[in-house]
Amino acid sequence: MREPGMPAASKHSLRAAIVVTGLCGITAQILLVREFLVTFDGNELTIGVILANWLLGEAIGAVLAGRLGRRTGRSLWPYVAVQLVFALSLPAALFAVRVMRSALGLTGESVGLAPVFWSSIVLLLPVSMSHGALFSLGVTIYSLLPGEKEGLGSDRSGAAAVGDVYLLETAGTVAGGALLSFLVLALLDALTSVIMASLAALMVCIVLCWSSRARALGAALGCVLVLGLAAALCGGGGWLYQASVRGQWPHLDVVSYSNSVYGNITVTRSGEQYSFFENGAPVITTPNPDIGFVEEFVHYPMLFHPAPRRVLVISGGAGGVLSEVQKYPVRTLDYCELDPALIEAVRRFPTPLTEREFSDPRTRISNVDGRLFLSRAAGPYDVILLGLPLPTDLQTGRFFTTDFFEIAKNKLADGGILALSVPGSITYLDESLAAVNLSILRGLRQTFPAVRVIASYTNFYLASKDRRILELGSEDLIKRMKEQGHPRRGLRVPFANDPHRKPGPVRARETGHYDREGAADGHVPAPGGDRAGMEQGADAQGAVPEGGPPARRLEGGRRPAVRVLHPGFRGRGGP
Amino acid sequence: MSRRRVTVLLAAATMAIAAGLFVALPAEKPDAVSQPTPAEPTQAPAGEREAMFYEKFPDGRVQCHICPRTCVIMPGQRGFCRNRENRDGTLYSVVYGKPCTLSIEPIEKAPFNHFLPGQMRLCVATVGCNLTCKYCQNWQISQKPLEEVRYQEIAPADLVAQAKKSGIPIICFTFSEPITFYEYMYDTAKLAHEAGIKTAMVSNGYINPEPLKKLLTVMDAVKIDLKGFTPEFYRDVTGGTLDPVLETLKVVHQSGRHLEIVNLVVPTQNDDPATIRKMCQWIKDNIGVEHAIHFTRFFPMYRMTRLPATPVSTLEGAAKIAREVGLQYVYIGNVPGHEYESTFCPECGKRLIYRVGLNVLENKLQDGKCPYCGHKIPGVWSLDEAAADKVSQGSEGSGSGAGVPPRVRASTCRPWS
Repeated sequence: MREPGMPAASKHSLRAAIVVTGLCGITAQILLVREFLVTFDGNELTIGVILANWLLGEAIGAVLAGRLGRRTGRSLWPYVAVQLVFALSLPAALFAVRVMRSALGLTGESVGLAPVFWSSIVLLLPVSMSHGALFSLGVTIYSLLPGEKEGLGSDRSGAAAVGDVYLLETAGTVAGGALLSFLVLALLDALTSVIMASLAALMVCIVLCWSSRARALGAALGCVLVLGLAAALCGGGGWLYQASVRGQWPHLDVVSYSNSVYGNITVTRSGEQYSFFENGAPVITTPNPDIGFVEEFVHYPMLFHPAPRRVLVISGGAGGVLSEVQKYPVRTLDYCELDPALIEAVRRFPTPLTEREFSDPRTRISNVDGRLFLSRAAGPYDVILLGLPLPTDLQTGRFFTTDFFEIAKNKLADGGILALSVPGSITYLDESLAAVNLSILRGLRQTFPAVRVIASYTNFYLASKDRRILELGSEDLIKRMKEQGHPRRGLRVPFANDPHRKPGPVRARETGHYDREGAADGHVPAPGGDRAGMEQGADAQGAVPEGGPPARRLEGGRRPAVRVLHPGFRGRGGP
Repeated sequence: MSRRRVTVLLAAATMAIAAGLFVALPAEKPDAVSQPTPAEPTQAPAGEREAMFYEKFPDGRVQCHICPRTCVIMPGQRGFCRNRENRDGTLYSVVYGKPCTLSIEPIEKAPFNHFLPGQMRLCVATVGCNLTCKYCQNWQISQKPLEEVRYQEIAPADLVAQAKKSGIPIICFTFSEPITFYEYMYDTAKLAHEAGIKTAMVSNGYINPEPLKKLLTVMDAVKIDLKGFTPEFYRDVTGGTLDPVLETLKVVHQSGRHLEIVNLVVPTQNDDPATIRKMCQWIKDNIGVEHAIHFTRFFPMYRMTRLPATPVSTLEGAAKIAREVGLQYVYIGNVPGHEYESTFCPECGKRLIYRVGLNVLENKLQDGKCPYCGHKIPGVWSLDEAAADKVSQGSEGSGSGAGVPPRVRASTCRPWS
């Protein structure tokens, strides 16, 4: 076997290099996946695609480096060169992921899985291939180091070398994962973190060169390291950071960009308005939220309950929901938000609305998983508001299950109500969204004896052990509003207070059409575009056509249900 | 498989895809050699209707002239909107009488603030749109072909009969893009007028002048989305062009039909104050200051999910610009409870119609005039007035309005307290 150029490294320095390779690898994987999620609003499918491409790159790199290793033997040149490629490509890849939206002209636009697939192949390949190559080269060199009796040609010693290298790299991976999760993520920006990982890889190169007496090269790399550190300290790092964030949020004024263990929190400002994004998706707008949604989400359950005193809000409370609940004479208001960074961000950029919400003495905020909180809570609650968005990922999906509904039912007081919302449509509910609605409706019905559906652009579900919620109408709600001294501007139940349109569609849509539809044939609420919608409108006008509206096919064409599972699939039906 | 074989297969596949695209994509211009043959519109039951406003070519292709895309469609193919199909050289509307959405809603939701406030409307929509707005609220129907949705079959006459029987005074073509179901809309509107029912269209205005003029003979009110005021915005966000929409505004204005304009203000996309000023100036110079203009709030939707909601101050800034330019009826939409949901007299500044969300809580207008200063407020304020207008204009299909009880009265009702 040829032994060109560079002398062999010491066993200890090579072992250290392999451990660092594992540490840098896990850092690269975690941070790049997180950045992809922020850039593309992804979920587990996105993670799966990215990881698949990462593994593909690792495999290709390992195969190619294995062939190369047979020719270069225990020379360190290839190892150092590949380590350098890894060190340089890692921060470049992360920067590229951030600025990709700007580069592709995707201002404000979500994308499907295809761009994630292609972009992750292109951007991850240099990083993952070099990381995979380091493993093969490491095994080759390790197996040929003095002290090893035979090379890779011997199955036993080759296998032993593979095992040793694998073990060392895994140790680095475990250490890196722990370090990243419990320390680095909370303290450093992702770009800074990967630059540090790159510097560690560069340091490995220097040590290897030094220990193998290639000291000129080691000195040269040391100079590069020093220059890089100097540039970072003189503002270059800050410039890169600013440029990358601007690239990720083109045309928006980003006033805060932070990472927590749970994800990325970005705050933008426009005039008086702050918008809070969690992993790229807008979650809170202050001081003017989508008040139409907030009022309906809060006031329907609060009015369907005769006297709500103990309320729990699981996620989505800050920036409107808490404020509306606080208009009632509640005694305690518990609010769970998993990510403390989100609450911290809302506190850092206060508005009169959020200051009022947080200063209310009845409100207790807990940064804990809502499901865990509810399991441990003493209860009982009169109203539980589940303020989570459409369950497009596993984290959110845990709350839209019969298991969770059962937990909630056990923590509700007599007459208590669990309220949640799911996107609907007043014009037409497509099959994927209908499937989600139907699934949740069935789950609730399996758990609760009474489920009330109020359909609109958002479908509101009220579930209770008390069947009386099925009997209330808009007049009852208005009466309760008056009894509870609700501020006049506070609730705008559609049409309920319009003298021209009484009794408006509110009454019609609270007559239980949707409950019957759902029970009878698996159909789901949709005020327009179907039999229930026609009946609703006709009822509202007191003019049901003879024989009812035309019957129609409910099942429609079959499309893969998986479409709804990824946020990027929303609207992918277009050209 | 050898490399050569793979190369040959790839080349063949590329050529096949290129050929497919050549056949499927609409050409910009018709074949100059072909002699176009104007097609005569025909009446047909639900589900079947030859298209209006298209040309036939001897080679079997047809060219649709409904909208500025003027798709040239090969036999067996459909146009950009997915609703118009070339069957053996004849263009058909495949969505005729096949609405996927029928619902009853307040007229304010369109939004129409100067057209029969407080009334309900029967909303009708089929699938299809000739634009591809990235923030479309109704993408579930606007961006799908007929085969991918649930629909029902209702002939125009049945639709009108249902509205009449239910006492709904307005049929409104909305949600997706009514231009793409032109024939169904036209036939229904014509029958509706004969039955004394008012008609309204909520549209992107991306239509050619000739079909529009014919349509306006049976349409009482038109709401146009002026989505932005730069060609770049129309190209990048809506997939269309600006000039045809401006032409539409002029044509509707000249027709004398009731017109309102909506501008959805999307952060970072079309919220530049200078551009909004230009837009308002154009409106003033070309169609006058009396048409209501609505600046509405954007919320993340469809593909535009990485933008914040429009700041209310941005909408107020746009409204201020519009008033400075001289537009008299400026509204802010999608901000329930905002002061600018209401109608104010441009002469004396008093509030005339008090709205909260979609609710009309107070309507002080008397015979379409301000009760304080007598200033006439442009619009259609009662069904009686609309019927009288119709008669005086002598338009086709004008009905007496008899049998449709007026549901809106000048009122000073107070909201509940």
